[in-house]
Amino acid sequence: MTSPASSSEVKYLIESSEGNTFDVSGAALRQSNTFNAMFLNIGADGPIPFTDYNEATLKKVFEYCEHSVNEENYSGPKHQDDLSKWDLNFFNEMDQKMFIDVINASNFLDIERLTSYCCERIARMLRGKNTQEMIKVITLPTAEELEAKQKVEEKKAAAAKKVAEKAAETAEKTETLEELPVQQLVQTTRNKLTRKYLSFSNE
Amino acid sequence: MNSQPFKLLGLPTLVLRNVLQFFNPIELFELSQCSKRAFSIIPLSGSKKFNLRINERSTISVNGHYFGTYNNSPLSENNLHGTRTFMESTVKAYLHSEHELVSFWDNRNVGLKAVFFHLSKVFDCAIEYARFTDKIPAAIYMSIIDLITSRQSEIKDLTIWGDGLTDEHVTEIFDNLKVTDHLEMNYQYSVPRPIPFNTKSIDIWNSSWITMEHLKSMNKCTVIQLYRSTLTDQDITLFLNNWKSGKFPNLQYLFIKSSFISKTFTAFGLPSLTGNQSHEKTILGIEREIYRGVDVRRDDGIAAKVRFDDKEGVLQILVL
Repeated sequence: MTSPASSSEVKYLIESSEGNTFDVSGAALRQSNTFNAMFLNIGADGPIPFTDYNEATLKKVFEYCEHSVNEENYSGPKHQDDLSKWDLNFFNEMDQKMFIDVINASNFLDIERLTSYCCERIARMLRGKNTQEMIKVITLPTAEELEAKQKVEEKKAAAAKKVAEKAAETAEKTETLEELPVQQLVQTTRNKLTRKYLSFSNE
Repeated sequence: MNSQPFKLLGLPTLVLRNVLQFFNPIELFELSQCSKRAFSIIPLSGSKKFNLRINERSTISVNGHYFGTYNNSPLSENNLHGTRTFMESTVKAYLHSEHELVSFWDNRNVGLKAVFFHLSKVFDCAIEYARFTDKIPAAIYMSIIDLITSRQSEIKDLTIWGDGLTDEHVTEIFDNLKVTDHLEMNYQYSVPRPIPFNTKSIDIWNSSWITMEHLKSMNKCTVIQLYRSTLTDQDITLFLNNWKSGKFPNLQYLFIKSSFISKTFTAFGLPSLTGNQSHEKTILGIEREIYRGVDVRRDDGIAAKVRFDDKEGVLQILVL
């Protein structure tokens, strides 16, 4: 890839918990509000570490994002009955563990459309049921599990902080760009990211 | 996805909130019954924005979903699908439909209180209506009122009616709770006292204690209905003159039934009944009708129909 015409052609490297990296298009990644808040305007110096999630989960999440790149902007929850065949297959082929991993990753990356669809899918498992029927569907956590959940959420917060620090570090390296006009800044960032992507591709 | 039990409560808080937002109040209630932890997460659904109502016939509703309370009966045994716990009481209950959960109690009034207290805890939301069409014991009525006043200083719609209520109880209610839209009173004060009648609509079923001073203080009301009144010709004439001069600018409909108005009374010296036409108008969501009314204009030109029925002792005004 030489000089890209639009930022959608920019690729970013994502790092998973196994330390593996894979690339994701800028257009797909921009569906993540977490990414937008941290990297969109400043770029990433090296792979973006989403190291709380394994490669399979992240690839599944970004598979969804790549697929919905051309869909209209997200405007609130969509009923499952309105999902396309592709969407339904996407959800149906996941086992429960993968589904939960995808929800957690989607929640962390703040991908509204995917998170909302996942949540409605969970709600569907319980809707219209009485208490006894609900108890059969959900596993009620023990005190130990609740404690463990709290620790996981603390760990996630620490991971988010780490990602933010990484973004801040990158921002420092681009401090001179801030003095440029916005349009020039965007183009400069794009060029820089493209160079970065090409250098990753050549490695 | 397979059908293994799902760790719903292990989801991140934001995800859990999104999931709960897909549930209706009955489903949220059913979930709250699963465990203490499940109970505690219901406000995540945004239930604080819901509204809780006590409706006619001792039915409680949350955003159009009903929680009925009934006395135990042999009939109730046929449809039971389990039990539910309200406060400390576990009783027979079943889902009558996706919009209604019904519970059965040895004493329906005790059930009403328990369900109301419980739902106010589950949903933690404002109480919009407290309507009563059954006379319930004062102790239960006042404990419901105490709960409401501990949570809010205003209510849209309130019925004051309890078996054994005292003047002190009722004064306490008026001191602590402003009724904004509709006040209905089945209570009769033994010693009349000033009341802040600043509600849009007032129905008083036994208004024998209502004086001319009370009526004057209703000058912001849109609808006034007084039954079993003791107001006299002189009171009514004074009221009509006040109304005509614009002292009741919001009044759209008035109904006063008094056996103390003489048969010879006439409003503004006009004939009591004319023609055979009826006029209807929807005011505050309810259709009001006046039959054979006489045309009268307020001093500011506002037209109205006024009717006095000497047989029934009923005075009506419908502003057109």
